[in-house]
Amino acid sequence: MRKVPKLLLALALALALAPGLAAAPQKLTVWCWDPNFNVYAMKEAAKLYNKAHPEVAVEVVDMAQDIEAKVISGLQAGGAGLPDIALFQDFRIEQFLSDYPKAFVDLKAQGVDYAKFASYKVGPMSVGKSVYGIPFDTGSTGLWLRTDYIKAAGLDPDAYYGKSLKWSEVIKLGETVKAKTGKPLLSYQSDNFDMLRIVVQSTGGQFFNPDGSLNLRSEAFKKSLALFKELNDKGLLYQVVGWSDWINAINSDQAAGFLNAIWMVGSVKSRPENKGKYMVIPTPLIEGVKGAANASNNGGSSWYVFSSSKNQKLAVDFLKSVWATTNEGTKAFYNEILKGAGAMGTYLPCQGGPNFTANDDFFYKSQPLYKDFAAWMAKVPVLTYTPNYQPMRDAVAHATLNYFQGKIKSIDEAIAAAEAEYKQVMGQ
Amino acid sequence: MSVVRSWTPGRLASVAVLAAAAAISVFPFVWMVIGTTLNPNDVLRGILAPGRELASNWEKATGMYDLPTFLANSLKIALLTVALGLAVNGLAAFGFEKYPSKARDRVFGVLLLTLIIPQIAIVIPMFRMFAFFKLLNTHAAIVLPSIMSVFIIFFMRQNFKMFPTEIMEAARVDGASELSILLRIVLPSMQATFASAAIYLFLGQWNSYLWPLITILGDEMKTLPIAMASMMSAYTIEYGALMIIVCVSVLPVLLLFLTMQKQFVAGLLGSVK
Repeated sequence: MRKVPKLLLALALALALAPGLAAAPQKLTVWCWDPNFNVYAMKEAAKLYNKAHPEVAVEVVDMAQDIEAKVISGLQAGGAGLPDIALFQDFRIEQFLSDYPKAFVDLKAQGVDYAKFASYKVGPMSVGKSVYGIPFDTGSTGLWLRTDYIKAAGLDPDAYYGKSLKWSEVIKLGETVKAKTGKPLLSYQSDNFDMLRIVVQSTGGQFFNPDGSLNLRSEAFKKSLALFKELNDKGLLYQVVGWSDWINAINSDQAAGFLNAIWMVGSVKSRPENKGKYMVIPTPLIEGVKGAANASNNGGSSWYVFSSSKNQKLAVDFLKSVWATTNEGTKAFYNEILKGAGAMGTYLPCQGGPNFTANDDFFYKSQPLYKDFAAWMAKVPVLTYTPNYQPMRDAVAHATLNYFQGKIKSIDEAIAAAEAEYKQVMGQ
Repeated sequence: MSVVRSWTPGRLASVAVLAAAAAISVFPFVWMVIGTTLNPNDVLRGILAPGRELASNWEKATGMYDLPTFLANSLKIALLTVALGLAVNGLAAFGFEKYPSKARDRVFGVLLLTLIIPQIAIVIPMFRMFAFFKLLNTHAAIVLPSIMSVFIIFFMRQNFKMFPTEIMEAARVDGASELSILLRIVLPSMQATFASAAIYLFLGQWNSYLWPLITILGDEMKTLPIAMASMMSAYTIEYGALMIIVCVSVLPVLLLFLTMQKQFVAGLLGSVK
């Protein structure tokens, strides 16, 4: 009964409102988010591609990050409304590759050379022998430190500048800074998993076993959690709840630093008073774990081509010839988006441009920040997210918080609590 | 003739409570407006003194987004929903209330039951349906599913109950057709009901996020909430520029509510003139 008038109305309104969906044959549509970052980078890529292919129009549509909700609807409807290319966050893509195995084009089969990308980016987009994405930006991490507080504590920042530290050394530094200035060492978002994930990834540890089962009882994870507890108990964490408050803590001098990725440059620079104060040193090392590195990652996304695309060949050619080819044009492109958006690609042959090596006088001693982050990026251990990354993330974050607050007494109990919550959520 | 009331303790207390309530409700708006003049860090810090970043925030907001188009899209969608929604739901409510039949209450019961189905549960079937109609990425896709609202039918029906059926019968005796009874006799005395239904429909559509997010596929079709969400997913969030978009999106609602406040409150109380 209800459908009939709706249908009639639908037809009537369609005539009145529909602008038509038909696409020109040489048009590519790309979905991504963040006008100043991803959208900008893709538009620059289109400019480069248009030099050789002026007949191809690339439409970059700025979508909210909830892009995933749209993509799921489109995939459920057999590709209806989907673009040719879309951006996915690295930690989300494994879920899509496992839920919709045929939805994306295997780009390895199309001749993309993945040895030239940072290996940690390629891991999550690989299934068996197939590799599905073109890696985009890095979330290469570092320890951001306020040199003014280090000086105020009677220490010499130069003793730390550019040094790969162990966590024990960082804790010692933190204790001195706290004793002399009263500032905790790190701003820490207590409801967020990011920092723990950064530490665990730096150890080369995994949250999941190769068979997909939960793996929280590894030495790497236990040591990471113990480190967090120590930081917490020694008062070295300035704890806040929520992302906005975390950014605010950083930009209102609540702590002497934080541990996060390259893309924090924008937030740090948005406050002129930060000028000359920050230096970034490599992600500290967890001692006694084999395969641990002074490098890690947080965040980052990659480009994917949908199998439902009618312009599949063109889309693949576009991504390949701009994002995965080495020539003067692509070098200039990667160099340009680094300057224009702070977007650092993960295509290793194109990391040598002047913007990569330039000194940045916003930072302490004009640190060549991008050069350092790029060097650390190549060393980031591969983290496998699996389709169940999000439930694991939430369960671990809850257990960690309870452990900090003393509701859980030991690491083993914290791990057991996280496992129990994960199992409950997964219905196991 | 002016009456000077004395400041009894009870009156003082009620003024104090009302003033506090007013401050709490007005504060977010004040912060929002001040936020448009601050840099992102000062917005987060909760600074309440106006800053000097208005021009640069405006530039960022309008440079990143085609605000006039988004505003026009939002308005067009919301107004169409109101117009069609009032016609469809009004007729339905009138029919349900004033034309008794055996099936009536059963049909109405089924309609009410659909209220318990959450939107998210029917998003994918609806998406497939609109893909089948070739209506994706059109404003029709956003307007059509919002026209019929069980809640509005229920709300209007409750208010039609208070309209005396005897008047309708008198009109019928005088030879008025059923439609002219509705348009010339019932409607003029139920303006408050229609006004509050209009505000409900408008607000619901103005704020709707999930369905437009999924069906809009291009920049030129976007609405304001979608633009705001896209701003929030950036690595570096421009809170000052965001506040400008929020201001732009609140303005029409504020105007609507202020101009129709009387009818809205009257409609809620279910009065018949």
